[in-house]
Parts: sequence; C-alpha cells; structure tokens
Amino acid sequence: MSDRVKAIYLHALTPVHSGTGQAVAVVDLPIAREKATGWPIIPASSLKGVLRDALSNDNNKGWIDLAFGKDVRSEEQGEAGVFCFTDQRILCLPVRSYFGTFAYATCPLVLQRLVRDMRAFGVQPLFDAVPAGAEGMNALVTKGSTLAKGGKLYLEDLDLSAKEDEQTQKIANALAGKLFTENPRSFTERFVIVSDEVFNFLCETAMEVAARIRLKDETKTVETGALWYEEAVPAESLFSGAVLIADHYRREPTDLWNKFQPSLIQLGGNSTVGRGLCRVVIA
Amino acid sequence: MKTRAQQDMELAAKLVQEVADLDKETYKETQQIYGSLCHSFPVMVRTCGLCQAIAFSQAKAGEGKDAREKAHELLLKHVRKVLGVQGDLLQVLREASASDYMLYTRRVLSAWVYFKRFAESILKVSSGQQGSK
Repeated sequence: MSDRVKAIYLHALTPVHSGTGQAVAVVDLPIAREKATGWPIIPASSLKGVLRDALSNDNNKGWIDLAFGKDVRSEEQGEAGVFCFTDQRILCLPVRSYFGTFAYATCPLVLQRLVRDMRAFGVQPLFDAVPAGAEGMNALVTKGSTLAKGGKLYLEDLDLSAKEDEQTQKIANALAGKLFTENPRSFTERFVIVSDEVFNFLCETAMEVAARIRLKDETKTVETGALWYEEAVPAESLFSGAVLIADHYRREPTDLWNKFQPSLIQLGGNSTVGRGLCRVVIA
Repeated sequence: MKTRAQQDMELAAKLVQEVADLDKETYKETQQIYGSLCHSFPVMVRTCGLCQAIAFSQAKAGEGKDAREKAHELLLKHVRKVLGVQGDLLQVLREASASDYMLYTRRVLSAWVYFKRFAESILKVSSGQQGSK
C-alpha cells in the first residue's frame, strides 16, 4: 500500500452549492456535474483552495507553500505544490424515504469505480466486492434496515423491491467505520444500493433547488427579474476522492501527512447563508 | 437525422410562437402567465416530481376564458406534444412503468430548457415577472 496517497471523504453537513456559474438549463445556477455520468462532483480546484485556506495560519507558510504551491503573484518565483487532489465524486446521495426518513443511496457503478480507483492509487479499498442484484427496480439493503418494510422501499417517487444482502452490509459497515464512527448504525440502517439507472434519476431529481430573490430596498418587493433558482447537493451527501503526493517530492511524506489534518471546511458558494459546511475524513 | 436537442428546440420554438401569435387583445394575460409557467414548471418537476407538477397544472387548467386556466391548458398540451402522448396525460403517467416515468421526467426537463429560453426571447417574459399561482 502506498504511503504517498490518502483517500479523502467529505460529509456534507449543510447543502453544498459547488456551481458552474450561469447556465442554459432549467436551473439558473446548477451544481458541477461529471460530464460522462451527470453525477454531482466537487472539482479538485474547489477543494484544494479551501483546504489551503483552512489549514493556513501565521506559523506554517513554509509547509503550506510546499504542499499547495507558491503563489506566482508573490515576489518569489511560483512553484507547484506536492499535493495532487482528485475531483470529489458522489459516493452516497441522501434521498427522501417513506420509511427511515432518508436513505444514503449509492449504486454498483459508484462502488465499482471507488474500488477500482483506490486500487489504482495503491490504497487498500474499504471493501472488495460489489454485490450483484441492484438492477432495475431492485435495491439491496442491510440487515434490519429502517428503509424497507415487507420487501418494499419507497425513495422519492420510486417504489422499489428491497432485499437484505450480506455484502451490502459489509460495505455499509466499512463506510460507517470510516465516516460515522460515533454512531455507525445511523448510516448502516439507511444504506441502500439501487441500480445505476435509478441512481442516475435520483442524481437529477433529488437535488435541492432553491428560489432566491433580491428585494427592492424601498418597497420590500422583488426587483424585476431578480428571481433565480439555485441547485445544491443536499446535506448528508457523501463524496470520495484522493490526495496524492507528486513524484517530484523525494522525501518521506509522514511529516506532510501529520500536518494535513483538516476537519471542517466550507465548500462552494453561498457560505453566508450556511451552504457548503463539510466534515473531512482522511483515510 | 436530428439530435434530440435540435428536435426539442424546433418544437419549443414552434409551440411558444403559437402562444405569441394568439390575439394580443384577448390573450395578453394568458401569454404572460404561460411565459411565467415556462420558468416555474420545470423547477416544480424537479422539486415535487412530474406527476405532482402535471396534477397541479391539470387542477388549474380549463377551457374557459380565464387567462390562468388557459395558460395551464396550453402548458399541458405542450407537455403532451413533447412526450408524444395523446389523451389523458395523468392517466399515461399513472400507468407508466417506473423506467418510462423516469424517462418522461428527464425528457420534460431537457425539453423545457428551450421553453424557458423562448419564453424570454419570444414572449419577453423573464423569470419571476408574473406569479404562477
């Protein structure tokens, strides 16, 4: 296992608007999505800047410059950092559920890509096998899941057939062991693997869309044209990615990792209205 | 062979232009409300679901002279055109398989990008200009 790579997991504590700016779409300010899948992502560039800012203080400029790069606008010559971040991909999407309030939904493709990528990076995956059976309108849940009753599962508008599955339980336990150490059951009992097709649909329709307005100061009515819609990834979403140490850093990386201990960061836009607070777990 | 986006754009341009061509004296308010619905309808589909959004419009629609009823009627007619559905839209949605329902939702959302744009360019109605009660 490589000591030059670590997995990064993000747990959204509030909705995250990591946007792409104005778009020609149903929603005026949509979130960033992966091109091939259409699933939400947090671009590496968004994450890197925020982590740099969160970890910077008056005493560690040398380490920050080494890890994140030297500013080319400074008097000294610019220099690339040794940390290389990947985009944060969606791992589990919180979805309204008739039973259990909400579900942490994921799909086989998400899990397969996570295992594949972690192996490619030289990181031990949290789990090895992705169970078969989450196809069409069938879903896999953990033993004693709060989401399923009588073999049925109701997510948003979708009625699904639910089956308890041992491998699904192992995956839920592994993720909870990293991300929900204080109360693993709160995650495992809500974990569900749906089909790729259903997950696609949820990634489009289970996002938060909020109407925002600007008021005229004098009349306190909406200014003409000052109504717009913003999309956000809902609170409780989980993302995964990695941070690698570049080849040109020839030294032992332990010291870098010891200093790289972020806990809570604010990602994306609208920070002053509470958006984007994320718990960071480095594994 | 045209792309889906081309077909959606062509259909939306034609249907919104038909609304714009309605007699201004009689249908000015209908045109305004319809334009506003072009902005709010897809958001409602995203937040509430296709069935709920269609049921909402169906409850508001009517063939009478009321401008709002007429605007919702036009909207429902245009959803039917986009989905290639004839007859009772709610019944079709009710009886659709989950896969078809997901497809219908995504078709409506992708087509409505153009209705939203043409509401601005052809009908001159921008987002939030007119209530969509």
